[in-house]
Amino acid sequence: MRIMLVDDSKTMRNIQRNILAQLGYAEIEEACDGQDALSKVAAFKPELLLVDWNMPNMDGLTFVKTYRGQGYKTPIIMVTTEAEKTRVIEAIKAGVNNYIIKPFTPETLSERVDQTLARLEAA
Amino acid sequence: MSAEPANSPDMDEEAGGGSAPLRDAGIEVRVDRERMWAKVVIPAGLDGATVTEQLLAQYARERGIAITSAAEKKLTEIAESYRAAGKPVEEIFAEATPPRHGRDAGLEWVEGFDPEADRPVGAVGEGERVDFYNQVSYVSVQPDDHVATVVEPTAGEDGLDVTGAVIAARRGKDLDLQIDPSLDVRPDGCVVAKIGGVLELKERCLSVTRLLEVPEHVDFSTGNIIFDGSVVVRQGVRDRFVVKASGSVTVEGLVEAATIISGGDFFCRRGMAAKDRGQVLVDGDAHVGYFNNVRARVKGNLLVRRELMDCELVVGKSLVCDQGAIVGGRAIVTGEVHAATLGSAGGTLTTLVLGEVPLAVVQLHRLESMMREYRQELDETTQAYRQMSSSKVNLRADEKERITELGFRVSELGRTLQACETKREELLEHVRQARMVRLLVYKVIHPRVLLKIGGREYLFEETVKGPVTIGWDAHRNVRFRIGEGESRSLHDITREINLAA
Repeated sequence: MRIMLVDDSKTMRNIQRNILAQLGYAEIEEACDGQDALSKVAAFKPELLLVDWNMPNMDGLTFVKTYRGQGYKTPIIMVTTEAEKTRVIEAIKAGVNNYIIKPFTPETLSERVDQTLARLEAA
Repeated sequence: MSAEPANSPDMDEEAGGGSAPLRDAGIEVRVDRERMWAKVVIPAGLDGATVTEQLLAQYARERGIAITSAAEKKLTEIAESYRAAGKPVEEIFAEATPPRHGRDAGLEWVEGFDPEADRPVGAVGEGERVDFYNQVSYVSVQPDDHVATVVEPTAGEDGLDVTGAVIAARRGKDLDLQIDPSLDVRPDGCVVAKIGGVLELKERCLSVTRLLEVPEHVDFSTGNIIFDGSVVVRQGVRDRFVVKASGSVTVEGLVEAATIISGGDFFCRRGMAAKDRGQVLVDGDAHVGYFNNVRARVKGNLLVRRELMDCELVVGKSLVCDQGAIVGGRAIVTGEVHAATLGSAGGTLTTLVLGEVPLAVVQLHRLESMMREYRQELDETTQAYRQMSSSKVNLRADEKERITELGFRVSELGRTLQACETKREELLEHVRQARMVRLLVYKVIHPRVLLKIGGREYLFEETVKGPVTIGWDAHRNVRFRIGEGESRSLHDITREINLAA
């Protein structure tokens, strides 16, 4: 499965990549912000995206809106420090399928990925 | 073979073999349990005119036997013979055709390319000698050399039992061998070298490792040799030079005070006189003429034709010098030791350390040291993680990311330590299994030979004539035997030295 990680922190991308590798996902592409991600999605064709919110150039929310506006239905998990209820609702309205609040454990990330994919399959 | 379809009224009954007396005549048809044969039994005294081949065939069919043309012919002969002689008959008239099982896949070597053709027998046991005079150290190939052909497994041919049922043939097994990318397997099964080098068959993998030939000495004209592949030196290796190869190293001439590092085997046709400066590190086996003042670590077997003199050795498997002498120096050997002579008439101190697994112990120490470092890092990281996680103050975004990072690191370290612990258990078990004490000296043990076994030291103070076998008994007491004599405590021929003294 092709997974794209969108986060301006190299450390966070490494952590997510390692956790996903342990789950058996090896086809990973990285992007350092929303702009970078948009330039890569057409070629990489991700089947799942993990997106941070607060990034330079283009933040996560803008990226999600633009991405969905282009017609993509790929599942998106927002991985962010933004924990307020209003923010979560805003993200879901923009088209995010699931949400992980930092700090998170490897188990939490693993559960959310499984949950998101299971829902997709059920749908 | 043609076969009439068999009537098999109740085959289960026949599964146990045996016979069923037929209704009137006392004629029996018996079938083997495996249905591999059927025989007819005719008692004496019957009216010959009634014993016809048709009657016999009918009885046979009722027992489920398929009447082939061969069976029919045989029944005719039996009937005719009975009518002529009237004697009782018990004769096989039908036999199964056993299956021809398939042939396993394999490699057919092109002449001269079998990597194992000239190797000596590897195992060294009681009374055996290793003949390494006739060995060939390597098989050299050029690019595009056809070295072997893969022979595919065959399906075999099914057989038929006496009832006409199929006895399935076993298909041959697929090739139980890996062929490295350095060789090409063509559609017609030809195995062809893609590169030049040494053809090797190791641990069920066939490969070509690259070969470097040094036509004369390794000296100032060549410089040190460091090569990814195997190395052959046609003459010798001079003082202070290095030959390092990822594969095997072969030296036809004398090795002086040099350094030899081999990722495979080491063949030293003449010998090595290292003057206390040379050293040898071999991952495989070492076959040498002699070693003089050499420091060597051999992970496999060390096989010596003439002598070992004043060497410092660590041998991961067995040390065999069964036609030569081990004099002076110290050898730590995991496996067996075979020597013609131990020590010298002049009383040179010669030390053998047996029952140790030094290479594994070194690995174990390294692993335990790494584990201590990981545990320390785990403690520190866990503390930092708990401290930050339990903070009541509103955390900044970067602090939240830092907590995630610490949590991940804690998880990683836990997993790493778990893997280290598993490896440690494996190493400990290996050490337990590999410990052995078995020393065979064929001619003589001189005074001042010192054996260190299980933390105890046994000094020979008198000459002991061989053949002597020394080893552990079931309770790990060290015992010896001369020839076929009785087993006795090693204390009878040595003095145990007090370690504290």
